[in-house]
Amino acid sequence: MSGWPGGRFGLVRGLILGDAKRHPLSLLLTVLGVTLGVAVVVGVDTAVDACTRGFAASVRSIVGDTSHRIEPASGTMADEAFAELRLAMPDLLATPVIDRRVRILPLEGAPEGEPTRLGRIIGLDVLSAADVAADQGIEEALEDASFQSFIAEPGAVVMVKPLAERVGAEVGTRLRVDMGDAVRSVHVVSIIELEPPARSTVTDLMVADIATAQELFSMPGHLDRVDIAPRDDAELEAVRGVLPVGVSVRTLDDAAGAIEELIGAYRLNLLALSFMASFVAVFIVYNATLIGAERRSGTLGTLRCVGMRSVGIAGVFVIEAAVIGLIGAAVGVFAGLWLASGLVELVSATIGDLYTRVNPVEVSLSPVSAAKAAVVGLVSALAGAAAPTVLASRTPPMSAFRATERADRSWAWSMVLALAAVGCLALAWVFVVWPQGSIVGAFAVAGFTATGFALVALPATKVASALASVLAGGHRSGRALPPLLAARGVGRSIGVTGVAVAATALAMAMNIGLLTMVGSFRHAVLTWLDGRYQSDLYIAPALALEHRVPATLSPELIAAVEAHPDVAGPVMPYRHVNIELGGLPALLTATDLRRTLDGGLLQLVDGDTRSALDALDGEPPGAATPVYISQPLAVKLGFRPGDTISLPAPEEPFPAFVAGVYTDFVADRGTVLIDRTVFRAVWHDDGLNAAHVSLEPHARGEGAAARFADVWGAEFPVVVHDHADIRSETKRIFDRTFRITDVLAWLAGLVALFGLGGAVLALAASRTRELATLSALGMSRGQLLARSATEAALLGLTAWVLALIAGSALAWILADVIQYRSFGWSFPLRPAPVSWGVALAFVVAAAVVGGLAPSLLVRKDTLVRGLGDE
Amino acid sequence: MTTDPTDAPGADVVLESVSRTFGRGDAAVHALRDVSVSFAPGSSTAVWGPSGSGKSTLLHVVGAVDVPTSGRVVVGGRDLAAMTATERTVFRRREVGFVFQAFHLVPSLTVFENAATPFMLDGLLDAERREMVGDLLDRVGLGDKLAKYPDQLSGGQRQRVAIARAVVREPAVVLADEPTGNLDERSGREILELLAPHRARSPMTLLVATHSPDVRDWCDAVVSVRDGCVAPEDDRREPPSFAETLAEAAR
Repeated sequence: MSGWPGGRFGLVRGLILGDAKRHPLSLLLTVLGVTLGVAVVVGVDTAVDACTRGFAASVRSIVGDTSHRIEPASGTMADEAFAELRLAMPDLLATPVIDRRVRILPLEGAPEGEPTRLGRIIGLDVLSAADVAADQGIEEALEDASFQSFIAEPGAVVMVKPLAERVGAEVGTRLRVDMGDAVRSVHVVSIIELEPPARSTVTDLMVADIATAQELFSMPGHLDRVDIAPRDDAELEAVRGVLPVGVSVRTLDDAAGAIEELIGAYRLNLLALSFMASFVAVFIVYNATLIGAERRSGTLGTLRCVGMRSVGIAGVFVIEAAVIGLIGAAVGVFAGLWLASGLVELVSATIGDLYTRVNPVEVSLSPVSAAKAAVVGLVSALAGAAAPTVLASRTPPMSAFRATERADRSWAWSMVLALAAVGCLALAWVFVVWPQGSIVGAFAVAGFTATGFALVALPATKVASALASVLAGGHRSGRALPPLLAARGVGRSIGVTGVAVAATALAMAMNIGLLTMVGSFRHAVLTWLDGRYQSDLYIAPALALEHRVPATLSPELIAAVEAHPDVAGPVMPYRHVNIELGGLPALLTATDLRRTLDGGLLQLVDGDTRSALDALDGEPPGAATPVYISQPLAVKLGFRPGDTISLPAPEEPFPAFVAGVYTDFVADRGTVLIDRTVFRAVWHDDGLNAAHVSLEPHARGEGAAARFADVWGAEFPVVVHDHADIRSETKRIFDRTFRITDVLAWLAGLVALFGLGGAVLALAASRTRELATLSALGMSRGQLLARSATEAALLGLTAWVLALIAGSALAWILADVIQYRSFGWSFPLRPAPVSWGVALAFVVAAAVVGGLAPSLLVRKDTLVRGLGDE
Repeated sequence: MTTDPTDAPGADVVLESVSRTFGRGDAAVHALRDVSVSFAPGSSTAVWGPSGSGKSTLLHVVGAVDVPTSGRVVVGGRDLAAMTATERTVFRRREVGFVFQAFHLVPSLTVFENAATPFMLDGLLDAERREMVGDLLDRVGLGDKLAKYPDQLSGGQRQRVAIARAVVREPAVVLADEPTGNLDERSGREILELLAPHRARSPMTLLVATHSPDVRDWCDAVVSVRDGCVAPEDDRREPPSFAETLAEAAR
């Protein structure tokens, strides 16, 4: 700025820098507000980005030149499909692939408590893979002296160096690996370092020959997919022409981008929450600019008198806001990266819990994120400064910010704002009742509601100040001078105080809304859990429970369980298969539907059990197969009882009718529940992902899970849980899922606290003369503190009352509009008194900050300086 | 219950070797230099001198708004330097009335509330005192503007409120810092005329910082202040002209 010409710009520079030097604390709090707003947006964006890029990297970097995948609609595909493809198109670059996660058990003699490690085994056809995956260094590894043992030796794998270091493996080491249904031994024949960028993103890989992989995963004759690299569109079309029924070709971009579709709603929710902090920051900048304009009103009025144009005045504030925005953005980027490194673990864990396992890449700032930060910082600062700038530049010279005019106008403005608030809330309602409500519409509801309550904050503050004035003024002895001054002060500076209330109320409302929604959701999930999980024991693969990786139980285990004398009857089987339904990823769950319905395990929100039971009994003869659809899927695809749907089966699409819609909180992508007898016949799949076990009465009770874990866990890699375990595990996952929500809500609260603190400090600073006068007249320090604290408490209490109403409204919107439209979940709301207390703590904190403000500002010489005329 | 000092006589004011320096080293400004002067109880004195001579600082140290760097200020036999901060606050509230050039009314209080502030600060605004404040404002010609706010008044009206506030509690000392500086000649004279009847009723000691000859002549005595020092004799020279002040500044 020093290079600016000394004329017009010099004047602007002087006005900006002069004020900044005189009021550094106000400036600091404003910049901090913008910084935090930017940091939260960048933090969330970068953390989610690291996860999706990690997923994309794990898809891309293994496969080298391949651009497409041939995949089955669900489950696995027969390797004859690959053989036929080879036969039909011998020149096609293609390799069969088995790609699975495994659990690596600690080495023999490892210290007690050593954790199991997650790994990934990719089975490739060595010869064809050498053509396809040429650039990853795997080829060199395969050409190594260990090639013979790699091909010939059972369980031989090539391991990447980072994984070898983590598990303590060397060439020749034999490792016990949990494949999901059984623990098998693998032999490390070579340790390789991949080429960048795979070196840093693929850190958990073991490569095996395809035959070895089929053996390890007990899937002889089956593949997960075939990776191909067609040279042109014609070759791709030719591939499509020879594919058998039930498999399809997807581009790798689709596969890598699938995560975006899968987590779209989750990402949108996080981003919307993250923007809340920026929204609050807008109010802070508004306040800072307004106060700055008031502070400089004399100077600006004089400049207007001597001929400075209103556009020049506007320029001062626009440049000031832009500088604040850019500084906030620059600092916010770094704060955001720091925040992202903390959030990435939470985000990846949640994505793993809800959708699919991701290994996030290292958090780094992309040019897009940097640009976003600059835009968020600039937009929030400029948007906040807009109204005060217009006000400052348009006011006639002699009346610039004269208190009387402001006071007169504030009631009129309050009425206008109240009407605007009603308009916003009405618009929100329109979006609620809009027939085809989308997720974006749901956020519009939240946005209009938040804006409506923000607008209503000004008239509400005005009314609160008037009421408090009447109460304080009614004290005949005059002892209530500090509260009277506080109440009147709030009312007279409504432009500042009302906006501070708006910012605080919004942040507190967000806290109340989120805590109420999360608390209600948690209660609903646990209630649902109690209804759904009524068995005594639950058996699942350790791989699935420890690392959230889909895995199946060994048939031998199921046989052993059912043969145990303490087990009452056959297990309740559960098989989960990923399918695509109506263009959306979904889960097909096969179970004993009759027992499920008879046992009342489903909480139906629509439909009945009769039609399904009749159909299972073959009534009427030839009746279609009944399925139950989870609420999230029914909401997204608009399914209702009686609808017919087409399920992607291996041979041909399989028709079924929707018998009912049930409450389900397992996954937001939705579940189709089908009878396992039908599933086994049509999908040719006998696998089980979980088994629920009922015990004989004498065998029930505390310790049963541990007892049976000792029995079955010794032989199979399984975890045996009882109801209490499931409940605590669910609670753990639930709380982890919403921890990031808490973090974001608190950050928005922190921004608001900066805003309120800044507003109270700035108010105190702008009243230095008044403070000095009152002090000269004999107002004690205690009375001064009482006045400021009362002012802050009045602001805080107004914000609190407003936040209770707005928070309840937001809770309803979050639960019944946003959650419902994003994930398809609905649940009854329960009041969360804790959140009211937390919000009240904000008020107390604000009152303390407000009460301390004068002692920070009234120094020894303030009295004399404050009484000066200049 | 606090002691109502409405019966307090005008206090004698004694300054002994009072100095007040702002800043340090080369940047130090000596607002008062070794000032020794006394003011008799019930007297009215014009503290006379050009801008920046130290008049306001002298009033500030007498009113316990500021603390001298050295020396003693004794008002009504009480050494201000020996007082705690709280005692000085109570002293200002009960025994001093201030009138400022820029009025310094509290913008969020009405005319009545501004005038009643000294009582309100002590919680003493009972019915009797309400009537007293009302009567006083009536006498200064603001009986019909009790519910108005300061920014709804003219400069002269605001200064009348400030004077009402300064004398309402009949303090021992009234300190007026350029009370007519922001007013035209006629309004200024009216302000002085307002002070006279109060002085007649209550023997307050009045110190008026001014460079107005009218105000100076209106007072019983004159103390001249130049460059932070009190002139040895009654120095009634006119303050320097603007050109002289500029030349002084240039030097």
